[in-house]
Amino acid sequence: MPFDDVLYNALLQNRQGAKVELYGGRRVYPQCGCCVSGNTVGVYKDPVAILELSTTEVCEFTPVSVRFEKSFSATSTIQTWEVDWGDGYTTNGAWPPVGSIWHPAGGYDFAGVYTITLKVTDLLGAFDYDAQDINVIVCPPLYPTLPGIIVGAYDYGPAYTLDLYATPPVWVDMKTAQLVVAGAKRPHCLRYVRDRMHGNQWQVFMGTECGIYRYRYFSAANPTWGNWSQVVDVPTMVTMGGVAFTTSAVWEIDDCLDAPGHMYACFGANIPGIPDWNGFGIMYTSDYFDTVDRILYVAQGFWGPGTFLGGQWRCGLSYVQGTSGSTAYISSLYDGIAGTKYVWKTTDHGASWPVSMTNCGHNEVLVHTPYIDDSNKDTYVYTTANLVGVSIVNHYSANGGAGWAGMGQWNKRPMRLAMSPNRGDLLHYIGWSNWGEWRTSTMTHTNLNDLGVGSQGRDVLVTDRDDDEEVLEAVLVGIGAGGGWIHLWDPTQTATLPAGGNKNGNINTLTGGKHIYSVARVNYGFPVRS
Amino acid sequence: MIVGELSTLSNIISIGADDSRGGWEMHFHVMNDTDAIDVNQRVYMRWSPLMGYDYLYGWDGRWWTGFDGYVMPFRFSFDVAGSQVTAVAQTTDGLLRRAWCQGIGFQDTGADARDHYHQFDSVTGAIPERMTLGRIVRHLLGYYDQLGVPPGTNPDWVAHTNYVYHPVQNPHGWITLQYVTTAPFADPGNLDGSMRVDRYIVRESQNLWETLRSIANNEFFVAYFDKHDNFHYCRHPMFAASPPGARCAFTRRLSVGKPVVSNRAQDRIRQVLLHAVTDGGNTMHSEYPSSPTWVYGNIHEQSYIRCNSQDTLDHWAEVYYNYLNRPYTVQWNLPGLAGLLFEINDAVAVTYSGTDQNGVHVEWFNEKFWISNIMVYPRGSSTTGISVLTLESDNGISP
Repeated sequence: MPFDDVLYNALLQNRQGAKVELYGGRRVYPQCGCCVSGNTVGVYKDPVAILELSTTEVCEFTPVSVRFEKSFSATSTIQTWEVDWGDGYTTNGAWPPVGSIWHPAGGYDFAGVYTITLKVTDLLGAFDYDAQDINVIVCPPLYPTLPGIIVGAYDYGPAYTLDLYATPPVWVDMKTAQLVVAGAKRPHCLRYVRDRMHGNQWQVFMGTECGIYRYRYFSAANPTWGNWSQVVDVPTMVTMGGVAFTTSAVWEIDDCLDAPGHMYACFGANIPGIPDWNGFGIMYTSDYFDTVDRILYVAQGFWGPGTFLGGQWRCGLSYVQGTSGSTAYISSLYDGIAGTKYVWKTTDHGASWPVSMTNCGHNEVLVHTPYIDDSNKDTYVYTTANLVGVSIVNHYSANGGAGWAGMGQWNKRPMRLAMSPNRGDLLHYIGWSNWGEWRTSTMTHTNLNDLGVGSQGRDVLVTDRDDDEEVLEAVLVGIGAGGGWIHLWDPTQTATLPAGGNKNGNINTLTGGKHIYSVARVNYGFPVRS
Repeated sequence: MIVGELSTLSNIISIGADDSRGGWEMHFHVMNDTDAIDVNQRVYMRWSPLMGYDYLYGWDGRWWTGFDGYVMPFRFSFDVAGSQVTAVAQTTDGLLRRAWCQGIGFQDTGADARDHYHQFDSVTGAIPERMTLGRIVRHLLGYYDQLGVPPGTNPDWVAHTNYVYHPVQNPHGWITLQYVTTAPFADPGNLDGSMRVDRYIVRESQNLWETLRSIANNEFFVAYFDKHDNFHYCRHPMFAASPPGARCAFTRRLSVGKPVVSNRAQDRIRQVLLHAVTDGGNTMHSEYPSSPTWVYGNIHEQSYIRCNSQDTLDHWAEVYYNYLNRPYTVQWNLPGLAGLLFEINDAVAVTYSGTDQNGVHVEWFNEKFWISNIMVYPRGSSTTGISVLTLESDNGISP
C-alpha cells in the first residue's frame, strides 16, 4: 500500500497532533469447536465406531461375523480397527476392513452373553468404541439329523464324507475328529463331544448332561494316560497340553463320575492346512444297557493299545477301528437312526466280529481289513439278528486273508453283499439264503468259493478288481429256488468268464433258481445288480 | 455496555502491534463507568492527523483507522470518588488465543471420494483443491466446503470457529478470509503460494492462534491481524519471492526524540540449516552458507518446514541467514500517531548520516528496514503523541 503523499507531507510538519475518537461496538460471541456448521451437518470430534453383528443370537461353535465399515471419522482418517469378541479373542487390522470380519476361532465355545467391542482409531490416536451383545446359546445336539456316516455330518465341508461306492472305496481324509462314546450307566449322560483345532492344538469340547465329568487323554506324542482332570462342570473347552499333535489322541471321559461308566473320545489327525473347524463327531448314548462299560474308538492315524470293545454298541456310531494284536470286537450293533452307516475297521491282524448286529434301519456296514494275511485273523461280519436291507461291504481284504461276509439269517434278506474290490483273493461263504448256516470248508486263496444265493436271496456280484482272474473261478455256486443272479464281472475283460457256469461246472441250481450271469466290463463302477 | 462513542469516557494509553504477536493491541482506560464496555465488545479507534496539517491547509476531514479490535477481560478500580476501568483490546488474534482447537488429521485423498471435511479432493473439478496449508488454515476458521461429487452438489459451511462472516451461514461472523493465501505453491508460477501437503496433523490446542501461527511458520508464512482486524495469511514479506519495497522514507525530519540503534554484531549466526518435508513425504535440506561463516557462533537449525522446491528452500535459508545476521535494530520515534499509518512487516527506507557533532557513524541512504514493532502513545485526545517503531535491517534480504 503506497504511502499517502498528503499525509506524508503533514507528518513532516513540526507540530503533530491528532483527533482521536474511540467508539464502542457490539459484542461478539466467539465460539470454537468441532466443525461448527451453519445449517448443515454437525460432526463429531472423534471417530465414530459403528458395529453391526451378523446375528444377535448364535449357537455355540457357529461362525459369527461382524461388519463395521460404516464407522467413520469426520475429523480425521481412521487407521486401525480392533474387535474384542468378548471371549478372549481379538481381531484387528488396518482400515478399511475387508468385508465381514469373522470370529477367529469360528465361533464361541460356550453359551452366554458376550459383548463384542469395536474400537476404531484415527491417525491422531483418537478412538471410539461400539459394543453389541451377542447371545450364544446351546443348540440341540445334532445327532438326530446326522446323515449317513457321521463323519463330518455337520456342514463344514465336503471332505467329511466316506464314499463306500468308489472303486476302491475311498477312505477320505479323516481330518474330522471321530468320536466314540462309551455306553453310560445312566441315560443321556454324555451329551456331546466335539473337537476343534486351534492352531496346532487339539481341543475337545465336552459336556455331559449330568453336569460333571472328568477327563484325561493320551496321544501318540504322549502315549500314556495323563492325569485325570479335576472335576469340571460342563461345558468345558480343553486344550490338549498345548502340544502340537500330529496324530490323534484318545480322550477318556469319566462321565458323571459314576464308574465304571467310562467314555472315550478320539480325534483325527492334525493335518496342516485344515481350517479351524475340524469337524466333529458325535455320539449319543441312550438309555441302554448298564452292562456297557466302554467302547474305545480310535480314529485314523492312531494306534492305540489293545482294545476291548465290550458290551453293546449303541447304533448310530460311525467308523470303528480295531487295533493291533487285539481281539477287538463289538458284541453287538444296534442302529437307532435310519440311514446310519457303520464302518467296522480292523487294522492289523484284528479278528473282529460283531457278534451280532441288530438292524434298526436301512443301513450299511463296511468291513475294512487292510492287513489280513493270517487266516486265523479273519474278518467276520455276520448277523444274528434282523439285518433286513443292510448292505455289507467287505473291503480290502488283502493278501489272501480269509475274509468272509455273510448273512445267513434264515429267511432274512440283506440287500447287498459285495466282496473285496482289491486283492480279495478269497471270499468265503457269501450267501444269503434261507439255509441259515455258514459253510466252513477251507478253500485255496485263488478261488471264489461257495457262492450261494438262497431262495430268498438276491443277485450276487463277483468281481476281480486286481485283474488276477482268480476271483471269477467260482468253485461252488449254489442258487436256491427263487434266488437271484450271480454276476461275474471282470472289468478288464481279460479273464475267462465261465459262461453260464463255474470253473468246475458245479452249479447247484434249485428249481426256479437263476444261473450265473457273466458280464464283461459292464461298468467301471460297482454294479451290484444287472 | 455503551454502543457508541466512548471518547469522553476513555483515555487511550497505547496502541501497538508486534511481529511476534501477530496483531494489534490497545490499552485504554474508561473513567467512572464500569459498565461502559464489556468483554468481547468491539472497540474502534479512529484518528486524524490534525495539527501540523490542519494548521497549514485546514483539516480535510479524513479519518484513519487506528485500531479495530475486541475488549479482553478487564479490571477496574474505584474509590469513593470514582472508578477506572483498565482494559486491553486486541484484534481477533486475542480471541483466537483463547480458542480451543481439536486435533485434526488432514489428508489429501487424491480422489473424488471424501469421507469427511478433513480430506481434500484434489481431483474433482476444473480447479481441484489441492490441500495446502493455507486451505487448512481456512478450514480451521470457516469456509464453504464443497463436499460431494461433483463439487457444489452438497456444499456445507464448515468451520471450527464462528468468526468468519458469511451472509447466510454465519451472519454474526466478523472476520473475512480474503487475505488468506490458499493457492498452491508452484515453482515456477506461484512462488508465494501455500505449500501443498498430502497429510498434515493439527494437534489439539487451547490456543488456536498459536496453531495458526505454527502452521504459518512451517512455510515461512505470517499470520497476523492488521489494525483493521483483517486476517492475513501470506508469505512473510522478507521471504517473498519479490520482497516489497519501502512504503515510506524516514529522514531526520520524521524523527523525534532519540533513535536508538542496537548493534547486533555479537549475535551473529554462522549458518542456517533448514529441514523440510515435501508433500510426498520426502525430505529436503538446505544450508546457508554451505560452510559455516565463522568458526564460532551459533548455528540456527529449523525443522518441520513444508516445502516442495529445493530452490525455494535454499532461498529461504539465505534470507533467514541474512535476517538473523542483520547488523542493526533501530528504535525510531515518529511524530504524533504516525505509527498507526504502518503495519508490522512494512518496509521503510531510512536516510540518515551522522555528524561530527553527534559522532554517529552511520551512513544510511534509503537503507531498508522492516518494521517489527509499533507502539503509539496518543497522550490524550486531540493532542499530540508519539510513535515508536522498531526497525530491523534488511541486510540484503531484498534484491
